[in-house]
Amino acid sequence: MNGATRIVGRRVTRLDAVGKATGSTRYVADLEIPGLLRAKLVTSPHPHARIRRIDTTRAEALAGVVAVATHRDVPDRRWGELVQDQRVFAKEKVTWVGDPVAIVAAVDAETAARAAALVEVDYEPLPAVFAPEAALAAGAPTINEGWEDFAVLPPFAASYAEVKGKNVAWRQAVARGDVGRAFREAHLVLEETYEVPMGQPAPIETHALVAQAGPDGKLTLWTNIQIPFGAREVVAHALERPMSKVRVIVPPIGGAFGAKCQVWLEPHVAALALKARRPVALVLTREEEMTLCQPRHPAVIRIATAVSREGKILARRARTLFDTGATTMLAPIQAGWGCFMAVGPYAIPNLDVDVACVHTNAASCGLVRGPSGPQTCFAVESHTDELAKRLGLDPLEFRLRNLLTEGSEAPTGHRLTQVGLREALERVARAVGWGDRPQGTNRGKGLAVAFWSTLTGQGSGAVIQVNEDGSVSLHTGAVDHGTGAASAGLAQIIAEDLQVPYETIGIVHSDTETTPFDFGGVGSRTTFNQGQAVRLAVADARRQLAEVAARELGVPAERLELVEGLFRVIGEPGRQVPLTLCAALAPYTVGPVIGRGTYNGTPPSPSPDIRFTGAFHRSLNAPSFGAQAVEVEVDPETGRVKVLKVAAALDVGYAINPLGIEGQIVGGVVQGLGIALTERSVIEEGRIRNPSFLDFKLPLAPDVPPIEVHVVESARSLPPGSHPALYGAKGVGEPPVIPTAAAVANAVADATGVRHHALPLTPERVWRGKRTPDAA
Amino acid sequence: MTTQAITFTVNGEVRRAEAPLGVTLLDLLRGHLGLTGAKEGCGEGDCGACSVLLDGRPVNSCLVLGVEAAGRVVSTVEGLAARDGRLSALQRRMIEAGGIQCGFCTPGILVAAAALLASTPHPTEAQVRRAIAGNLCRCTGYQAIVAAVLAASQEA
Repeated sequence: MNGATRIVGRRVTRLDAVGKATGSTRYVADLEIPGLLRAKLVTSPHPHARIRRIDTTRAEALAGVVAVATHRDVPDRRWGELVQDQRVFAKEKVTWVGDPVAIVAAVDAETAARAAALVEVDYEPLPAVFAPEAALAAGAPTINEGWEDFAVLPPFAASYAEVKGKNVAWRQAVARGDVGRAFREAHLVLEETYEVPMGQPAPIETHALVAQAGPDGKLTLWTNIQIPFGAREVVAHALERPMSKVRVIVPPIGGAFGAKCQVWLEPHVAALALKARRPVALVLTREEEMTLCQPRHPAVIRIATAVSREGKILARRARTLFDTGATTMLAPIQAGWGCFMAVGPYAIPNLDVDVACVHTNAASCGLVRGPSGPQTCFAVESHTDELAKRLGLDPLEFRLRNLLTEGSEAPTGHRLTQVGLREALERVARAVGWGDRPQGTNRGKGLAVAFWSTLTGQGSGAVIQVNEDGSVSLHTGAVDHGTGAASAGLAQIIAEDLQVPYETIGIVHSDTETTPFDFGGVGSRTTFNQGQAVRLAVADARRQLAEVAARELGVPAERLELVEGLFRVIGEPGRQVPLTLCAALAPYTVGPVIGRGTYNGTPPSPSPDIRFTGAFHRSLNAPSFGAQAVEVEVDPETGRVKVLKVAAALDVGYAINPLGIEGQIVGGVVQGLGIALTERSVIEEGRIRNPSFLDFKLPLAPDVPPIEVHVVESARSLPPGSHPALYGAKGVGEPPVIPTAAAVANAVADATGVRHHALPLTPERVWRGKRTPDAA
Repeated sequence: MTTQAITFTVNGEVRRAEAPLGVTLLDLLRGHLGLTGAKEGCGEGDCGACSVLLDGRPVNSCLVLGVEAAGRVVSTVEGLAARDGRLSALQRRMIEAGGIQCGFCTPGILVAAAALLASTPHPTEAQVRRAIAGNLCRCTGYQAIVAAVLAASQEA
């Protein structure tokens, strides 16, 4: 059981909020450096073409142009965080509309844009391929030329060797049991196919980068990336220089949602700064953001499930094709998570799941919040309702018979603890009055459940300095991309463990030169991993302070306890010294108080009877469990879906800051409503046709219904002494977005009697579905 | 580029600027006056991150030319707090309600909400949602923002 806490577990406001509320927070595009130039990318207008010639002379001759960089200005090598398959600037060929060919630096943005248009590239168009199935066909053009020899991050080389191939970015398969037999012996087998189009993370801040090269060749980059240390590694690799000559600083990020979790334009801007010998800024336009920056993968999900007469799921076969676009980027992660998402949070003894990320001549897709989650959950949870219908069971009852529960085996075979899924589902069902569903009213209710893993195993470091007045400066590699994981959660953890006031904590974020390594603000990992590093750093600092107190009190440090900010001699009331005094004395006695903590969790191992192919993800670490319920009204005349209410529950294990968690849940749900109803990147022949907020419609304030949040804390009911580190807290950032679209689709099916197999549920789609239900 | 000398009032101060004719009010504020609170999220008038008040009414400053501000009154997020730094009720409530996450849309939403409260001191929830309908927020789902504006209106 967790003991009583003072500030952990409370609703606290974030430490960075005043700066943001007053407009004084400086984002990348707000930075001013004397002599700062403006950059513009030159990108391919063709989906697939050979490059015959690149001529930059006219661009360079334009007054105000300082430098133009192309492949000739960077080392002749490929890069990639996992599979090294891409060049900084295209050399032999371009493989998508938007493929960077050159970048221009000029005295102002207008001149840079004019110069970019003067870069002459002679292209020879090649046959292109725009659908994963077509790309896998025997006669398809090869997009990933050289795939036989791409270098791969060493731990995954063997897995890559199992699955690599022409136009295959990655493939992961997971199998257990005997699916064929279960299908033969089942009471019922249902097979369906679902499709989800390309989507957009759409942070309001576009990608923005500033790069400066010192006279010694040292590069400094300010960039709004979620993985500063990964960016340093890629830039060092791509530009062939030691990491000590590359510094990456991440100012506050204006929203990310995975858009900024892959290294992307850092090498381009760095190369330009080196050539220009002046600082340069690249701030993408909204159109560039929505065409160049790793949208959400389009997906086709084929799913077949065998069930018993009693309504137990016996086996599942799933085949997912993600359209990854031209380069691999982080597709292995998409494929890995996609396997588990295709199982869903159900106990299924027999599995045959195969998820492929396939190259096409389109923008490289990325890891958007809960990568693979919303797409696959839409398929799985629509399918769950269809199974229930065929069994004559209520969708709630069917789910309850199959949900993962405490002690269940995960799809990877390890035993799960802290499973608050049933509570989450029952709470949201109650919140929408599940039992009360009058037919024939154009209204309907839908449920969906999901789980998501908390990423660990990649390393987090934290350093805290206890200042002479007892205030604390935290140096963390964690980025601030808006979640509050660092700017509230980490500070709460320090305030709790060191018994210092929350408000006195200052945070230095994400600077590869001054803050310790952190893998990044990705995978819902910051609180879980940084939180544990911070706790260790505080414990280290406490030992140093206790040493001062021991000298002051003339007792060994082991005889001291820290209570309400005082080091007290155990069992001797009144014999005590304040922590603040110890902090003031420390520099002149034991030395400055600097605590260090590092953490690298070990995800649970899969059971040996799970058969992996192309294994990238093998485990689900500390999964969070979510359930959402939605009530909708469908206008029979127009097909317009109006969401009347959403109830969203998430088992977060333990809520370190309920205010921040509610913000993540509501925000995730609203992104999910966009996926469900309006958001779709229209792509034709590899060109994204609607790269603006006018044509790609995010939910607006008046569109959003009341969202009722239920924070489930499964760690609170663990037996004494068994709670995991960090109070049992689990990842929160990504999971809320996953079940929403599925719950909306189920509510629409409930209201209309029509099952839709594709998103988004636009008025046109829903209206047509009523007329021709079989085509839906 | 040809410039025009303009005089206008920004957050209560009379300011002069040499405004290039083609420069937007947003770039004038950010680039020439050092007021970087207003943000560019799209440059097309779709997202509202650049919202400022022009003569008390919210505008997308990316769609207004700088020279159009001549002789007029501009208010930005930097002008919301009192001169001594005390936050306005709206700013305080936004913080307390959790209406701020990444903060990129916050300046635009704050000025749009401030304009609403100036004209309609006790708005309904629907009025609040309509008043910020031109401001995209991708983090919060708006709920905490709406609660904050309503809470601030109770203080008036």
